[in-house]
Amino acid sequence: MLEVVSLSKRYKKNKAVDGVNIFLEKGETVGLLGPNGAGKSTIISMISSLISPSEGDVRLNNNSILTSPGKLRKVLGVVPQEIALYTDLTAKENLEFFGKIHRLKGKKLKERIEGILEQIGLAERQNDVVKTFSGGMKRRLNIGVALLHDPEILIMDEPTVGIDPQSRNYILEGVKRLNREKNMTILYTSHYMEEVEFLCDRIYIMDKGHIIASGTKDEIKSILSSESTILIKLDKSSPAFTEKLKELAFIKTVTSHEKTVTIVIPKEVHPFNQIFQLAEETDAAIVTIDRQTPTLEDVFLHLTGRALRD
Amino acid sequence: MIVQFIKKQLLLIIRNPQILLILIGMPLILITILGFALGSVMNGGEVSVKAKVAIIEHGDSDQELNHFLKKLESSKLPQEAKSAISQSAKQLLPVEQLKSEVLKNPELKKYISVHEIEPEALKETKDDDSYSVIIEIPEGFSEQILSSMFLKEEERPQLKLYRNEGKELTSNLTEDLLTSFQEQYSLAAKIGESDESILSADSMDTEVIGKVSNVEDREPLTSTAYYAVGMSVMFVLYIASNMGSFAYQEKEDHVFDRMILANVSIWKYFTSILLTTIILAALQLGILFGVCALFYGVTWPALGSFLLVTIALSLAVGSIGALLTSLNYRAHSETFSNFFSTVIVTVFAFVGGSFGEMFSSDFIRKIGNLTPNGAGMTAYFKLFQGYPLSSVQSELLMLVLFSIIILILAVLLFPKEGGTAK
Repeated sequence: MLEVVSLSKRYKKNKAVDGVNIFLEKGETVGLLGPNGAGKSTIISMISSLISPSEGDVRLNNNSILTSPGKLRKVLGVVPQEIALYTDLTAKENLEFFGKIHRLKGKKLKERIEGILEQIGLAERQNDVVKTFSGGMKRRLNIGVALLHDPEILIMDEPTVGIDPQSRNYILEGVKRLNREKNMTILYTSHYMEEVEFLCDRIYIMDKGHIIASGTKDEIKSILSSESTILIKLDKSSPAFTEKLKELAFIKTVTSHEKTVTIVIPKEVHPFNQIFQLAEETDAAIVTIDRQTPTLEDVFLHLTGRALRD
Repeated sequence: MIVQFIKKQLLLIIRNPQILLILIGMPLILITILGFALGSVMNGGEVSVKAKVAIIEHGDSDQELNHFLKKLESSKLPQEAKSAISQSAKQLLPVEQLKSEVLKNPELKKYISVHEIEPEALKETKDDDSYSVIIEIPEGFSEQILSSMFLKEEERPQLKLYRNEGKELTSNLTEDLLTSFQEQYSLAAKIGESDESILSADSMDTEVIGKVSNVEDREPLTSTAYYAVGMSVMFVLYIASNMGSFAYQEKEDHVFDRMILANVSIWKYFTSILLTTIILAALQLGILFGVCALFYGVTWPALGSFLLVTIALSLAVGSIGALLTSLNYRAHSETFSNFFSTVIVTVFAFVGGSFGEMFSSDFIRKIGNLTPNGAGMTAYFKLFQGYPLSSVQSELLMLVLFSIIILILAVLLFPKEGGTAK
């Protein structure tokens, strides 16, 4: 349905996106995963025809949209990372304004607005000025505006940044419902691994402007099929312990975040004795130690040597 | 769709007290303060200051005239001349002239109150702080003046003038009147020597100093009207900077992206900015002039011409709004809007004359008329004074030309590709 072919974007000498290929089939939810600055938003801007690529093509049903983006825009809804709303207008006034610029009018517009307000759970607050809303409510309205013209494809650029867990769940459930009930094709970008795991059928992992892995969740996790992740929780942070772990030859990657140290090792290795020994040597007290199957986060760590939120 | 943009912009402005204060509140406050504070200076209407003048006459004009006539009779002048001088002297009695033509002139009644005081009360009068000026006329003053004028006697008498330094404005006013009287009196006497037919009391009408009179007998420009126009044409410029900022904010907040994604062409957006600014400018001018008409009685004799100037000025403001939008979009910041509202508007206001005629230079006045506010102001003033529409042709032309040039620049500078904020 939507295809991105060898897409690149260069800003002076800096290449923000380099030869990216992505495709979306009708009705699937695809995740675009990567840390901040990976190039996700630049790709979204190019796909949605807001900026021109330096190289490559974006095709809708095998037709390039670069020279005539109108057809894509008709079927595309974009939820930007920013709150792209008039915060001095009410929720209803925002929906009315954006509905009208989408050429909706009269009864149809009224019905769409009522439907969207119900869908995003803001019917009771429709006449309140947006600046009085919580972060989660603004995010929901941000999504609602993108759905006004009933798009076939929805691109969501980190739609849950900076909101409370309750609003986040509300949004994630809503996205799932859109895909399930309306067969909407969704491209969902995030640096929250669990969101992508929850929503997406297929995943693209990006780093520094490149796609470094792609496939279904299982396919991606199989990259680490020969490896295990060990999660060590300490009573307090211990840089000395982390450094000592790095000296062990069989350990592939070591990362630490506050009191938690994560290591990736070959599946056949059983390192618990050495780990306890190192803890004793460095005066680190281990609270728990847990061997896990790899997560997408581990895959990202394995591929880039960095955590997603670094 | 344009209606939606205008409606949206109106709602945003109405809900922003800070902008409302700048666009409507501030000009009305300034019109009120400046209009009333400078009203007495500019209006030619009621002057709140009044000079209290004491006149102390030591002699008697009639007796002194008789003394002069006797002196004239005994002179060696021909009989015809004696007869003419006698007639003139009766008409030119200096103290009587001073009283009737200046101090008790009905036209000056509202500026001066004259009190004739007995010579014995001079000291007491001097101690009375309520007097602005005391005029002391020595004994034999009239006789000596007439003798000096007609019989070429050397001795020239002098009036004594006591000024109250604490009442500078009114004492200055009186002194100016006396100086003016003295000049005209001397001139009349000189004319009288050569052509007795001109020597009449009528030719000695003193002009009323302090009144702003219009040479062509047009409606005088009151200070409230002056500042209603001056402040309105200045503050309407803020619509342009505000619209430039609003438009840039739309880009920053990615609302502009939403419009592009809704297949709104960048030119439709650009046009909406232009039209919205024009309409908001016209609306702002309408509100300001409406309030001034209702509360300060500043009304326009020719409403059609007034509307035409308002439209032309709004066009100019609209084009500035479009240019600032283009520049902000290019610069990826609000720098241009901020620079315009803080520096350019102030310079335009001073050069254009919003705060009064600050510069005496003709060159600066001409430059002022090249600013949209200056041209608008001149046109409004002419219409207010009852001039016909044809008299404001050059200002209208200037506003339209200004709009076209700025608009072309705005179009050339507006980014041709709609896109996300950097």
